[in-house]
Amino acid sequence: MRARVRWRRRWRGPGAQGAERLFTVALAGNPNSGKTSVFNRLTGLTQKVGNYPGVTVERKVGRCWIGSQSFRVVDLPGTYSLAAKSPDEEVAVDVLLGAQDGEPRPDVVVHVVDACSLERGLYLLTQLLEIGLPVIVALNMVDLAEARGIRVDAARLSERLGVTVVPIQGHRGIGFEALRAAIARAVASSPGAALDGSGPLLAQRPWRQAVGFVLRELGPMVAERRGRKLEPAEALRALVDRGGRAERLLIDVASERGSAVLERAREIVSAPEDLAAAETALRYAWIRERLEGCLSGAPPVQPTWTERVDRVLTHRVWGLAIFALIMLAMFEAVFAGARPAMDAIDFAISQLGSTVRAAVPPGALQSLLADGVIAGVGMVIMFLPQILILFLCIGILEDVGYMARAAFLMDRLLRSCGLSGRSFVPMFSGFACAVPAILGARVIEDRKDRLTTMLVTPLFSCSARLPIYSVFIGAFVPPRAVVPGFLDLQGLVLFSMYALGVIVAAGAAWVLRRTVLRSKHPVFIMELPSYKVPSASSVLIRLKGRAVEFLVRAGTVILAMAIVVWALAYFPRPGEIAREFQAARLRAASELVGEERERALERLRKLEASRYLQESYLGRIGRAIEPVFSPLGWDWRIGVAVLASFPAREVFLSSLATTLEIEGDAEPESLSLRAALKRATKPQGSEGGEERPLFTVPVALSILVFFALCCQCGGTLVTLAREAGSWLWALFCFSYMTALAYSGAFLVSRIAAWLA
Amino acid sequence: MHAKPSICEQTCAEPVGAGSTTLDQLRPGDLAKTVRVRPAPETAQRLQELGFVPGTVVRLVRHAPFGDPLEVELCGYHLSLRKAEAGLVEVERLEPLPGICARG
Repeated sequence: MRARVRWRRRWRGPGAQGAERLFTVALAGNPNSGKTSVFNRLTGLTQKVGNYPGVTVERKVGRCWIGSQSFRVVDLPGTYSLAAKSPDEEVAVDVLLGAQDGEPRPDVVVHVVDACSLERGLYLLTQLLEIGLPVIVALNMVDLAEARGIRVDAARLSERLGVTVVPIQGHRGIGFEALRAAIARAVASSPGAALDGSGPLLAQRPWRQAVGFVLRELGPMVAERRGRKLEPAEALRALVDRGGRAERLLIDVASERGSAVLERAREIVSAPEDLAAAETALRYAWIRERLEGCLSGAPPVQPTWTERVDRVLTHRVWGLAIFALIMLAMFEAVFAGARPAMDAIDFAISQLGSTVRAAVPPGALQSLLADGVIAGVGMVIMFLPQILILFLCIGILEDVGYMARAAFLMDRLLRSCGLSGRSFVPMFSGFACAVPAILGARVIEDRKDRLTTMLVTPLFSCSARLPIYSVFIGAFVPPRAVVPGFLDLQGLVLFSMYALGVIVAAGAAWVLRRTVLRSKHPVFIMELPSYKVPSASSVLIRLKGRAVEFLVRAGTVILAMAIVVWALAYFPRPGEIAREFQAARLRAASELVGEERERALERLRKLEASRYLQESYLGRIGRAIEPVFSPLGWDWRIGVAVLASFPAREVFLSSLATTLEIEGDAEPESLSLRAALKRATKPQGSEGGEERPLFTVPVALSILVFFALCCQCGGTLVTLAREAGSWLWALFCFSYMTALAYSGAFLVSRIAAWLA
Repeated sequence: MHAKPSICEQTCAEPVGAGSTTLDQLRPGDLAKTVRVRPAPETAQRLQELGFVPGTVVRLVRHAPFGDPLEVELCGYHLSLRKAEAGLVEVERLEPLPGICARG
């Protein structure tokens, strides 16, 4: 026991008396201030991402070692002010006040400020000083500021502000020893007092009186009723933000008395019209006064790199054209760039399949391994390179800062659907995966706007659809050149599938915003951060996370589904079929000779496999629901594969691979699913008659359209239900998308058949 | 050398023209000094928190392809906002001193 305690070496805080305490450091700061790279440097690979209990805001926590002490570091959502307007800003405020479930109140706040936008960054500081926790300012990107001619005297600033200021360069890892030392010092000393004029507002008599009045009148009641005392910062927000969250929460506890006290307190502050205007003006005046003498250097006359690049990228005429080119280039990279890796994995998987078939005697086990597990899961893993390239492209564009420009360019278009440019980044992430995209919609402040964005995001073709597009386009669209050397028909069809998702999403958003989810035009105010060279380590950390997530999904959900589908397709194996075909084989062997005999035996083998499949559980289910899918021209095998893929789309290919393998190709080592699809036929019951292909071009196109528009992802629906606050929304999303998918597939199959 | 925090205040100091105008009326390259933000629930507060307080110097950088939204520069960073929101910010045009602040 002793040895374990010594090994863990927790810090003994003041007055701890033998109990060990783990201190919590909260990282606060504006978005784009480099907070994430500071968090990464402090916590490295110990970071864990999850959710705050009861709220769907991402929680990032990690461990940081300073000397022998271990600290818990929480990365709060980026915010410009503690007057919270969106769910993740609310969480940041709640954590700082100790009001967030499951998250202890931090002991120290490290406020990361971008040295280039110091004035604006310090606005949050003025509010943090009122929270009553020790604050350390981490002055980030000092090198970039210097390059712009801004030199900050950190020591002087520290003196004027009254808090420790540590200059750092988060992206280079410079200044972190000093930062860690400052953190250790901050927890060693006792936390500063709250109310007495430590911030600009409370230094002014009227404000101090008003807040003091609220605390006196309501403090005891509030503390008693909700078990947590009323903080000055909360009282301030309740005063200023009329009708806002803080006021509502206070009135919930204190009811009419609370209202009356707040009104009286507002009269004490001698601001004629607008408390918010008075508050912001006071804070900025304080900041400007404090900054005097701390900044030096001459502003350069030349425009910055960012400004120069933006002249091209956000050009009034060329900006959109370049944007379209970048998107196209990305799709080409994904489709073509992963080819060598994909072929290699494909080869390895089929080799593995042959090895298993050779090693294991024919029977249920061999079939389970070769047809179920290897064919099923292997099919999905083969697409890991494509998915990684897609996530890489999106991640780089975001880290560089281009995504903000894309939102700027797209805002006007999005406004015609009732959304705003702020929806662009979450929706665009839907091209990688709808689950983080839906989570990313948190930044949208208006609730109905956010909900609409979340409901249409699944229409954006996610990476799980890519294998299906890839296989079917590869198999049924001829590789003809449209623009020689640049664009071919296959690439064009792929792009069209993505475009289809976007167009339908725009239409759906338009309808939703005019009917069910009507609200005023959302506000669009967004920072355009400087372009930054993305740090290789943060891109790789994120990529690794995605790859692991994908492989885990393959390893669990898809493997489970693949085995289930296999079992349903394999069992039962009625004895009569075996006997019937055995007899037929003997007849053929005795009556025919040579090549004719070989062909007859081959046909019998196929017929037998298909009979087994028809009589299996899967086959019975499939034939029972066939009427649902026959208007689309789909054979029951396709219908069953579609049903099986509802929890996760990738299973569609797995189950097709399984059923086609089971039906049997002559060469068990046959390589791609594509070839199998082309060859797949609907065997006729009788000996004679033509074998018709299972997949024709109209059928293939209708499958593509179905998958483009249908919501077949358990993960998406669960996330949607949580974020939207009700299962009804998830159900709604599922229903409208399935309806669209079915109608779309129907239309396409009819039109394609008619055109052919 | 010593410069004030709002860097442009030092170099561009001549108010021009009578009366104030709003941010959305400016042309690309124009400099202006914030007078006030018209009251509007939540939006006004957000604009003020981001730096649109009396005295802040603002530069209109450009318009987006369809004329909306606008990109402005203030307090050392760039912000994108719609014409509707920019219309809430009352400003007073400034004349840049020749040869300085010639960025854009």
